Amino acid sequence: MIWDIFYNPSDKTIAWTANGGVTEGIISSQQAASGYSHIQVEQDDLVDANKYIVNEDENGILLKSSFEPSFSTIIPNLEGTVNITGLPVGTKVYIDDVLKSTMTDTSLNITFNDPGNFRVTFRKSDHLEYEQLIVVGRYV
Amino acid sequence: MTDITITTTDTAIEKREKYYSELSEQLDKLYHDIDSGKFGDTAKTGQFYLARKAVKDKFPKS
Repeated sequence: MIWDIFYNPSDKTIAWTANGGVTEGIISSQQAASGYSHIQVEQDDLVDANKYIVNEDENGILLKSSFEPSFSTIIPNLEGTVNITGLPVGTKVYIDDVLKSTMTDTSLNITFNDPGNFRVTFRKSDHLEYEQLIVVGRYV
Repeated sequence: MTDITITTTDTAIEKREKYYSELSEQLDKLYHDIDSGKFGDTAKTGQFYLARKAVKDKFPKS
């Protein structure tokens, strides 16, 4: 099956895919309106834009890698710190969907000065999104 | 090492609500304070204490 892939040339993330009905007019208008580049690939399975990325040579697609972080705890005490290791450089760290940092190394410390539940999300263009709920412990 | 510190815009009341222990734990602490005599012996005749004690007696820890 031939798939038409429209992608962002800067980070190679796939914007959308189709397995038919793509015309030269659509390709040129996607380039003009959204800046998307286009390639065709042959693959039997569905090309899920969330799971694949265009390769560096821009002539094929790759499955995204998985984050494999290690958390010191996911239920820290108030004012406690969670240490997370194994993050690739360039990982964007979001807390409750707010970008907090972009990793320049592989280890992260998050200190929670207020109580509550916090959703930590890691995003990187060539990785599947990873999410972990951190629950700051209640007073005991 | 990358460091992030999380503080919220929650009000003091909101922070308290999130940090208080679960209500069942708070009530258990209250029961044990009554049981140990911190509120005087008459507190042990109150409905709260007696009802809580009845449940504890019904299902004693093994």
